[in-house]
Amino acid sequence: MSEMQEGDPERLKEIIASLSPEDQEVFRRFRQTMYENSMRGAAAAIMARNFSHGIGSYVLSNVATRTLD
Amino acid sequence: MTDEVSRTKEIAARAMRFALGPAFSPAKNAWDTLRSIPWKELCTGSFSQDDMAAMNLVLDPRSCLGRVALMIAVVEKYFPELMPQVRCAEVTSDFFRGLMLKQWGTVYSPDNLPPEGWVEELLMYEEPHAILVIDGRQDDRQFDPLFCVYAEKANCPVDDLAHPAVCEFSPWEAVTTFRLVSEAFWESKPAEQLRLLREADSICPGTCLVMHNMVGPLMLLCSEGDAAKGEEAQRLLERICDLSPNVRALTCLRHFFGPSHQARDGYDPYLLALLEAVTWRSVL
Repeated sequence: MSEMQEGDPERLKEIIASLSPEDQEVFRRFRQTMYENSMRGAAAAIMARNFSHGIGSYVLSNVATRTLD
Repeated sequence: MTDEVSRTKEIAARAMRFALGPAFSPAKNAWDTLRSIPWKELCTGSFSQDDMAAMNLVLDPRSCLGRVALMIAVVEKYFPELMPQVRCAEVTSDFFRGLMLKQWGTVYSPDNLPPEGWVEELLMYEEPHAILVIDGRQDDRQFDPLFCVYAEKANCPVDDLAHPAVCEFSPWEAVTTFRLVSEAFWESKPAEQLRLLREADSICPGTCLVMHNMVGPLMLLCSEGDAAKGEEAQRLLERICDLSPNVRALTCLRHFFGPSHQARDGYDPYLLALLEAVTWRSVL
């Protein structure tokens, strides 16, 4: 078996195709779990807030031209 | 008074001395005194979440937590008779967010998408935000330093500006809870972070900021196999959306707990999708 190069999706597909149907299902579940866990990590990041509230340039610049009235 | 609340007051007193300097003197009443603080200098700059959490620990007035702590400290020092009427309030419907949403459908639409900066600014106005409220018996009066900056630019009376909805809390207890949330932010282990956040919540229960920050560790503990934590995260997200609809919470609800959680409060599906895309991209 040739060594897999990093970022070689075609080679990864070949390896997955060579697996038995049971192993492919295990791999699919593993990949789904990894994805869900990374999304949970992302959700944790978007919900971790620290009162970073200010006043932004769109409100300030548009109020000068009264477009937000 | 708990040790943590006493510590918060000490930190706030130190931050006030540093922010106002020795020459500061109060005006005749609390409102004019609060207005005399150079808010324009303190309301500038944008900071990362890490920077903001670090600033919150010392109640730096460049964060809205630092600003509300400064206002409470000023009222307590110069107008102590007003303290029984003073509240720290979390904004649950933001004035500036409302201004931005008016532009969707008038200036911007699916055929004329807003610039990315516009989308990011709208998301900023959905972040937790704290202000000062003084109970005026007849009607509560809000003091948000951002209104001072806006009123000057818009040439309108600052007294005419108000957030449509806020939740009020006991002032120093709320500031203490919010400061402890920033302490918990630095904890990397979800279980320990959750313990710190529950401790923070026990000082001033029911704040949106604690709810927002609890979702992360709960979701991570859920991914380690604790399904009950996932259910708790869902309940918190639903509570957040009931109290103060925002795209971050809606995004998590829809992604993890099903598509039944519909857009609310001014979002059409297209705008929500746009906001969700930017929300995810900010962390992925």
